[in-house]
Amino acid sequence: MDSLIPFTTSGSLVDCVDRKMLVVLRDGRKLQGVLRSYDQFANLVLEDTVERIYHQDVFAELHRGLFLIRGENVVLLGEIDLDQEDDVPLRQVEWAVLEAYHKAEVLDKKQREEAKAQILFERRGFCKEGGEGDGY
Amino acid sequence: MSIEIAGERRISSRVVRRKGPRRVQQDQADILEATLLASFFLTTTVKMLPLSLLNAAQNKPMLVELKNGETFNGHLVNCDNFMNITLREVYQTNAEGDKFWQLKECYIRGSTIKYLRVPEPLLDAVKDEQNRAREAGRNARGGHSGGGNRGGRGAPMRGRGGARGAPMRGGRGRGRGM
Repeated sequence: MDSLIPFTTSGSLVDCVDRKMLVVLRDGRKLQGVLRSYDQFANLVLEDTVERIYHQDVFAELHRGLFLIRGENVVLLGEIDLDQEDDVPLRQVEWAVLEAYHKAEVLDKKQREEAKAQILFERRGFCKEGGEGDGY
Repeated sequence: MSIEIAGERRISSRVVRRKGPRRVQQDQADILEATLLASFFLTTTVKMLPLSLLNAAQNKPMLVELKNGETFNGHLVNCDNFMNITLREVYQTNAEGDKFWQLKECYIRGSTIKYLRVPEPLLDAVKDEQNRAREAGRNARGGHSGGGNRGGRGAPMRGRGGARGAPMRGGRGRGRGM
């Protein structure tokens, strides 16, 4: 039966409707929510969305509500196994506690990426990424 | 579900048989995509596409984040199918969230948007609205006027029954057999 459904956005996402999904955006944000609708561009409607941040073996989440995500920005969309999600060996902490760590981590990663890009550009003859119009 | 599968089989066999130029195949892929979407919306109960939700959010407060991280808080005035939007009474913040601007009205090009956050009750409100519209349409048709909304955009979710998938596909296809 699966083989009869062609590999299109719609074909792949029908089974995900009304399921709890994890969405990773291009900016690295991780959202969990119930997929209520989508279209051929993978624009998504997520209900009861929470944003999660992770640091080592702890995580924190913040309720964000109803999202309409523009498809272009979606990197990954995966179903969350409700039976197994409680078995994940991560500890939940307060958002306020973890936010600073997470911000530092993001900043650190950004700086490392920039340093890497700089070296690739100056010494290895690569072009620069993220220039005008590159991000869209 | 059975409608969907049956429709799928018909369509996909057509794709295999036909050895047309690439453009035609692309057209068929589009038709396939549309068909799948249509069958999805027919087989499930009332569903709304992301852009219809946006349409329904007119005059509601919302937060728009652009790809570059800037956010815009305001009430939706208007939107189109490209996701271009206009907001009124806007608070704009920069990507770092440390600078603020207040704008009376602003226009945002759809392609620059990362996501929109809309009030949660909206989803239920719209579902109710659609249900009511569907009921009303059903009653009206029962009276005298035939299916007035046939082929209209956004109409596919008002299916009358399973067998409806086929005629719609015929009406919607573009450029097939050219």
